[in-house]
Amino acid sequence: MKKILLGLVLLVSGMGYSFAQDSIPAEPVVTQKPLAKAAFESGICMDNITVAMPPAKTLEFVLQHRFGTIQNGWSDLAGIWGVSNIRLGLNFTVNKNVMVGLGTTKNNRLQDLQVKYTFLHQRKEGFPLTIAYYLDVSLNALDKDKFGTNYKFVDRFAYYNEFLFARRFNNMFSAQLGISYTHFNKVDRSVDSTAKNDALAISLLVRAKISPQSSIVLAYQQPIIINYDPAFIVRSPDNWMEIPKNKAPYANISLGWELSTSTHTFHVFMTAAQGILPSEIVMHNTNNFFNGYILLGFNLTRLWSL
Amino acid sequence: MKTSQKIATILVTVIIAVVFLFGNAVHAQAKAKPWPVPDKDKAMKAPAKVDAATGKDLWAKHCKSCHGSKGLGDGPKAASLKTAAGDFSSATFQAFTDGELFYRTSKGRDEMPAYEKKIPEANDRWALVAFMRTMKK
Repeated sequence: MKKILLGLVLLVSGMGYSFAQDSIPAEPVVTQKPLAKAAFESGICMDNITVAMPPAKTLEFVLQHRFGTIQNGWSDLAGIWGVSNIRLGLNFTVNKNVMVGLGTTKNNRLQDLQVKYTFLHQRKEGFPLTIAYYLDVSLNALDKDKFGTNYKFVDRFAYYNEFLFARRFNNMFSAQLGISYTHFNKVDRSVDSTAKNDALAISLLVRAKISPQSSIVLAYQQPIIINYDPAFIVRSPDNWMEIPKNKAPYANISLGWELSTSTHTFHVFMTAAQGILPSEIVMHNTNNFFNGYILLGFNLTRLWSL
Repeated sequence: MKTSQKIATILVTVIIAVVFLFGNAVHAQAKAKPWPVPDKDKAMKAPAKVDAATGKDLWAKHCKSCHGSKGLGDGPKAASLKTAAGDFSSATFQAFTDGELFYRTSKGRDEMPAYEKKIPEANDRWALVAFMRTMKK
């Protein structure tokens, strides 16, 4: 009897065991696809901001210089002896997604703070783009009489926001699309009474690598002034759209060469805009590249791992 | 020429000569000291899929300036280093395990930077190791 009972107990316990849930298989470990290599070597490329960011806990020094236009030829060595603009900046990468920075620019004594945040990274055989957001807030430190009547401190501020979408197609070719919105708290209406405070802009930046350290880079940025008054657009006989120089900003075009080492990136290029901050380039570029209003510029960045 | 002017001329000439002759004295580079690697790191193996072409690009950007384009320790900055940059084509160097090369590239020492900060992706550093293997004589 005891053996029967023991047998029953064993049988039931065996059945109970077989009725119990199969052990939940361990969830397959989902490994993220590895990150693709960066689309660009540096966070700036000529006049453009890129999605690239140095590694976390890296300090970056930025030097950006723009000479005068080449219009005067030999008399001012194609603008090298002419009116110049310069910006010095310092950036710090907090973690692999966030970079903060500050800078100072000669023209209009602009002092700026910036932040870049990367939402999504391109992955090998995975997500196809790197997407980032960039914000730059600048303060014009010129004397307050430059701001006209009814001066308020907030008149000095301008804001630049940009969403960046970049892709490294292969080892040789990368491209980036930028969509931005710029706002100036106060604009000068003493010359152009229709000057607007806001602008959108679309930019395209492409890079073609020609050697392990060198690339040719080309960029185009088209501003779109919000509520632009079409009465000031004049069509010339051959149907090219002519925008009077003192009425609207021109598109910016940049073409140059990039050299990158372990700790430095250099850009030497020709461009139209003498402004350096993106907000200045979008709203205040008075140089038409196709009319020969071109200037030379260079950028230099240096990295320190902390 | 007055006597005082002659003396001043001779003195300046002697100072310039001394500075020229001894101011640029070249200090011999030290040979690299032994570089022990923890056993766990020494035994590490490279991942199955490693891209030597990526390693070549990274070498050109990060390593060539000191170690030279072929790893012979003859890059443009090599002469200014206190420690010789080494010959990566030699049998001695190539006898190091992949793990040892990966560890030293990642952790650095003295003038050699720690590349785990500049090249945070481990696969990229393994790619550098793979490229170093192509330098074998």
